[in-house]
Amino acid sequence: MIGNVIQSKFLAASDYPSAAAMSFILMGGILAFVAVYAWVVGTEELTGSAV
Amino acid sequence: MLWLTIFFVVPLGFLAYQSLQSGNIDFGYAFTWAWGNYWSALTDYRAQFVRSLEYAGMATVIALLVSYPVAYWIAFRGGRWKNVLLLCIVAPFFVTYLIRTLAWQTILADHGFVVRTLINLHLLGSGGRLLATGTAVVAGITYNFLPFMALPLYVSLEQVDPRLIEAAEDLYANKILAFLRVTLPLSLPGVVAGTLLTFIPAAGDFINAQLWAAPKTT
Repeated sequence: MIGNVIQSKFLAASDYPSAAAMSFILMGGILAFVAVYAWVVGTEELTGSAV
Repeated sequence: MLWLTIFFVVPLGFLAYQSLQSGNIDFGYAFTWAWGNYWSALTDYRAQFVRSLEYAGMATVIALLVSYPVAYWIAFRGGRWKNVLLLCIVAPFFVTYLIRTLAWQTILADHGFVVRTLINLHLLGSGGRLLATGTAVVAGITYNFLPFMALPLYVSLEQVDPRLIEAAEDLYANKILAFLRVTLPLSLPGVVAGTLLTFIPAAGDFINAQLWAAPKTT
């Protein structure tokens, strides 16, 4: 998985810039996933029922 | 606010700064707006990115399917055993994540007890193995993040007022309909919280893949 690539880039290859770039891409990917998910489920409805 | 600035924004900013540097370890790095880092990371490791999200998604769905009935049962049928049962879910946290994964690694190893038994029972081919497969990684992630799914689910199911379900049954809803129209919608906040808590760390996880499978293949 990508976590392994990032880890080996940081620790084994000492290629900090690519590792950092990959972390950001991963973060972006997760954010996009979560945003789509929240949009599909409908957060407004959820917070409305939770309160 | 200050907390968030110091412990989140500063490291993140530093990481962003670092991601645009170029150079190598011997000659040092210099900040050069090297957007190529992003481009090459995306093109070279596309498969791994996709696989991470895929595995994390699969593990999240499995964890949800497994822990929903468990949380439901504890919340509605737990009775006075509720706290003990919850402790059972939290109990694995008393041992570090890393130690647990390592322990399972020895149990499921190629020459370990489980694989040998399965081969002897002919449930697994003679060269069969449990580790070093994609399934193993998904199983590992599911196992490790299950409590993160189960606990929010339990909290939201616990808050469902049983009187609402009784009312639904009084209004001629059968058990399944009452569950679908009353319990499930009321537990949705827990489902969302649980899936986020599981999916986000799972997507960046590297311990499971490293210990349960050769990272090159996963």
